Amino acid sequence: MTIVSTVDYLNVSIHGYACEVFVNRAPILRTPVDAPYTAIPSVSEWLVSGDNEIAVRVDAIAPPGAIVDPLSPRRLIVQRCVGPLGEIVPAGEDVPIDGLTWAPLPDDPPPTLPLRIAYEFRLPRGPTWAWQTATPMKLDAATTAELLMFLDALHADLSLGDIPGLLSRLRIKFAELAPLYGMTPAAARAGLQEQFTELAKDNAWTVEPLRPDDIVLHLCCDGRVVEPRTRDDQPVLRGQAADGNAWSLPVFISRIDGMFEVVR
Amino acid sequence: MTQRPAQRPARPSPRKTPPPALKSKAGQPANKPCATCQKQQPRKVPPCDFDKLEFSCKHCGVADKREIKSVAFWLDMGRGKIMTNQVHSPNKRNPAVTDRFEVIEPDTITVKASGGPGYSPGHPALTVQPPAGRGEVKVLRGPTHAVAVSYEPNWFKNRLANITRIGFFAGLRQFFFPPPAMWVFTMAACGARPAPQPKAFYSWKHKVAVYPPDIFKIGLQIPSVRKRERADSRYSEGKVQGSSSSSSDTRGLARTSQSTKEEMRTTGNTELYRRTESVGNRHGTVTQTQQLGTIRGRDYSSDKYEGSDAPDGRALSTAKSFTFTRNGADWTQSFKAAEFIEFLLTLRKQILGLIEFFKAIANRMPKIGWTFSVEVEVFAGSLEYEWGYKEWPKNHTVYRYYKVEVALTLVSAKAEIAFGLELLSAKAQVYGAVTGELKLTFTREANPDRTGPAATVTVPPAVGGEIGVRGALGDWVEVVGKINAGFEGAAVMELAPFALKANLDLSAGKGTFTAKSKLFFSVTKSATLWEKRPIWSRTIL
Repeated sequence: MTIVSTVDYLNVSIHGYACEVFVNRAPILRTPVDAPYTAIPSVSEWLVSGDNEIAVRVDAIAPPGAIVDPLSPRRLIVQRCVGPLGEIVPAGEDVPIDGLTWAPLPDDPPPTLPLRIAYEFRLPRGPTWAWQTATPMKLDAATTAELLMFLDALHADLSLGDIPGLLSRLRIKFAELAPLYGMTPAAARAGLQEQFTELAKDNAWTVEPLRPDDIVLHLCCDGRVVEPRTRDDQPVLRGQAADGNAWSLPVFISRIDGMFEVVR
Repeated sequence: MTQRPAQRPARPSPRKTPPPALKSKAGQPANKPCATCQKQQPRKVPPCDFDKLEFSCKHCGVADKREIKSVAFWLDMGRGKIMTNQVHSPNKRNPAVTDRFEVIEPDTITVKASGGPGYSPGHPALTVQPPAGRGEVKVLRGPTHAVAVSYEPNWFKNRLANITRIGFFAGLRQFFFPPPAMWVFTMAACGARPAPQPKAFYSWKHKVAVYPPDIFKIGLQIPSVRKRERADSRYSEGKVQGSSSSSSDTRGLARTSQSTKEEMRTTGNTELYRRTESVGNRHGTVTQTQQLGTIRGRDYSSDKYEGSDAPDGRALSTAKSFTFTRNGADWTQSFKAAEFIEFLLTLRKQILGLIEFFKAIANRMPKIGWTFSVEVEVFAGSLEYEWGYKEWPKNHTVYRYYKVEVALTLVSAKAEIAFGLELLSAKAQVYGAVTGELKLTFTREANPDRTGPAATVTVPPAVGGEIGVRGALGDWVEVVGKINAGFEGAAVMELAPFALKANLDLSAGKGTFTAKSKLFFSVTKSATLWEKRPIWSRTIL
């Protein structure tokens, strides 16, 4: 088993724009229009051999004059970087490989929204992820019903605290991501079980009910992956845990060999 | 419109309070029957009273001085009341002044009693009681009198002499609207009236408040000087490696010099680094010694500052910036500005102390390293405040005149931070910058004629900046919403009398964070990055 010591990540710094950032059409994060947003999400599991794309969809723009603080300026910066796994790269010391910056001039006419900004880059040969070869889906009534049933099964596992049952549906995710993030799949599974025990102590574990009318299925990666979210963009699998924590389990689902699997 | 005074002095016994009527030449008390008559006739008191009493000053009825001719009190037989023509301010915030006549020194108060059934010999009598320690009580007989009134003699020079003893701020406060000298005038007659008049005026006690005539002005013109302190420390995990540097610079003063000395000693698991830097100009020098020691990855650092006694350019420029005038004459030299300069330096030091505050947090996770920079400017800009008492032309009162023009930055602070801490059971770095500025910019003049804004100006700090958090690569930290961090407080300037208060605190750094896990459950929790840090709170003047 190869332990990868570096990880690809995005250095995202956005203020004044409500955006969604994508890597190879997989949604990574969303930013609010009225607050600065900075984050360094790791994205190795969405990068592929050959051609890749990083894109930003701008959905809303803060009005002129709303952002005047020179220490928190209006900006839209997404940089692709590589750094040591498990280490903190101090702010300002990221070494970008490439990236995109969007800075319209004040006199430019307002763009038509949503606005898509993207750039492409090539990567050397690497692993082929399961989602890359998954069956493309169409969110017709039958597929939607099947997906809701799959979500219901995940929800039942979580409600019952059946972590082994849950892990059986996360098999591909753990197999592909654990090595990427410095663990064996077995160690990762044990870690999840341990975390659940901690979060569920004192019977504090609760799961939000699954409400089909509140679920929006976001088809991404050219139809090969679905991300279910609530109407207000929260993970559908979420709840309360011990110590006042809120837990969530964002999932990306693909159809692999005819079966739905959690791939990310 | 006439109205009854709000408070009327209690009516004393006629036998005690009024000065006695004069004795007749025959040795018989005036108005009193002889012993023989007393035995034969019922006792009779001759009529002795007045209908109206008026108070006026030299300015009453003088164009552009006082529109009122006098303040009058008269006996309304029909109502059985004492009426008055006192005019009150339309400003509801100004309390009605009913018990005194207010004047600016020097002045002469004319008291005139008129009307009535006549007087006993020597009546009516005016008793003039000067302020405490200002001479004997005088009794003046007759219906009309002009009495010169004054404020405390040599009051300005007496207070000026106190400044050395009580210091700059308290010394200055002495001149902010000192209390008036209170004279008490009592006009009295026997209060006897022929039947069937049921009411008598009898006696009227009224105060005359005398205020000093001086118009003062203070001015501040302080140049902008920004002081910046910076410190950083950098570590890598595992085998301890350390480096540290600090710098300090002051902008706004010419000809500064700087020297730096560095020392480093390294053993197997111990590394010591020492750097001494001196910065000075032609007026003085400040030496900073910083020592950083690392033993098995722990940070043992210290900072020491020493300043020479020589005044720095900042102190000299501040000393020159303050002016104090009385009626146009410069009295600035009477004030020793050292206390004010010390205050400014202390304020600056307190804000620069934020570095130590953050370092204490950062040292809990020394492996991540930290860097801090605090930049501060205190009391930059200009302030002109003119004040004194003036007679209000429309009535019998004196008002507190002031005129202020201010464009003063009390505090402008910027803190750039980057340090490590444990957040949601994982290590993370907090970074960013926060700014806060307490600035007063306005012009205002007292206007007693109408209801205007209150003579108090409160300004919250203008805050800015942005704080971010990042975790170790792999799982990542997302801020839900925004991290609340920055400065809070207020600057309050009261104008009559002048007072300047300000407080500035570093607000708690709080936020809601989601540790986004690649393999496990993501966890969202509210956390406090640092607690609130009070920096500075005081009444400046």
